[in-house]
Amino acid sequence: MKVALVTGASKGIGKACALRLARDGYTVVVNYSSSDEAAQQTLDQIKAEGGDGMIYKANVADLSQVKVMVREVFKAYGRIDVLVNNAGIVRDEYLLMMNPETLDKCFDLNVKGYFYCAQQVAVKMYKQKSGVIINMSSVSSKFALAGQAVYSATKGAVNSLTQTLAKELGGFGIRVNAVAPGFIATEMIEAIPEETRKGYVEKIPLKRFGTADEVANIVSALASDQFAYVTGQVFVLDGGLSL
Amino acid sequence: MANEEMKNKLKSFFMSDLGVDGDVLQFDTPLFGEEIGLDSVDSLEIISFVDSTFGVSMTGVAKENFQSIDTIAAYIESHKA
Repeated sequence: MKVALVTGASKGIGKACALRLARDGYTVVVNYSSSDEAAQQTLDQIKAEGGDGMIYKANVADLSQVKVMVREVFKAYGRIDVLVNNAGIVRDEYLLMMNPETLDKCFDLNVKGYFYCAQQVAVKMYKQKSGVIINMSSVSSKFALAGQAVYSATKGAVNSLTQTLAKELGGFGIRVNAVAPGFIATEMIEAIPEETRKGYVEKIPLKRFGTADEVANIVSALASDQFAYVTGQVFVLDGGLSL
Repeated sequence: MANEEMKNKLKSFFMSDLGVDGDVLQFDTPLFGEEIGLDSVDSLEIISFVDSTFGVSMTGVAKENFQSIDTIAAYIESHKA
C-alpha cells in the first residue's frame, strides 16, 4: 500500500490531485482546514471509485497541528509516500494598499505551511529512504501580474524551497518537485466576471483555461517512478501564458 | 525506559548507524565537535531515529539539545508522551 497526503484537498486542484492519486492506487489523506462537508465529499468520491483514505482537518500554517496530523497518518498507515503541498490562499492587493495581515496570512499558509509539512513528512520518508514531495507553485512565480506581489512572492519562495529541498533530501531517496499552474478553471476563476475572464483567455496562446485534472495529471506523473530521475524542477502548466 | 537504558540505546545507534567509535563515545562527548565529527546531515539520521524509536519529534529543536547523548536523552525524557 502506498499513501499520499494532499493538503487543501477538499476542492479545486487539491481535490483533483486527491482523486487522481486514489485512482493511481494510493490511499489518500484528504487534508482540509474548514469545510468538513467538501472534504467528506472528496473522500466519498474516492471510495465510490474503489479507493480508500481518510479526511484530516488541520491548519497547515500551524506547526503543532501539522505534527499531530503527520503522526496520526503515520499511526494509521505506517508510511507516507507522497506529499502534495497544495493548501494556499490568494489575496491580491496593490503594494500601496497592502496590509501586514495579508502578508502574514499568505506567507503563513503558502510558505510556512509548505515548510512545516515537508519537514514533518521528510522525517517519515527518511526512515523509508523513499518519498516524493510535490509543491503547488503558480505561474505567478514567473509571470508578473500587477496586484499579485504577495502571492507571487510566496510562490517564488515555493520554487526556491523546492530546489533547496531537492538537494537536501535527494541523497535519502526523496524527490522534490513543483507544479506551476496558470489559469485553471476552478471556483476561483468562475467567480471572476465573464468579461474579465474573456480578457484572460485572450492572453493564453492555447485560448482556454486549464483544468484541475490537467494539473493532477502532472502531479500523478511526478509521483510515479516514471519520473524517478527528476527532482528540483518547476513544471509550468499555463497554456503558454508565460511565454 | 530508564534513562541509562535510553542512553545506551542512543549510543548503539551512533555506533551502528553512524559509524562512531564506541571507545571514544561517552554520554557527554560532544557529537558535532572534532572528536566525533558528525555534521548537519547526520542530524536528520538522529531526528529520524529518535522519532521512530522514542516517538519524540526533534524537528526544529535548538542545536544545544543535540550536543551529546546526555542532552538528547534529557530532551527525550522531558518530551515523552
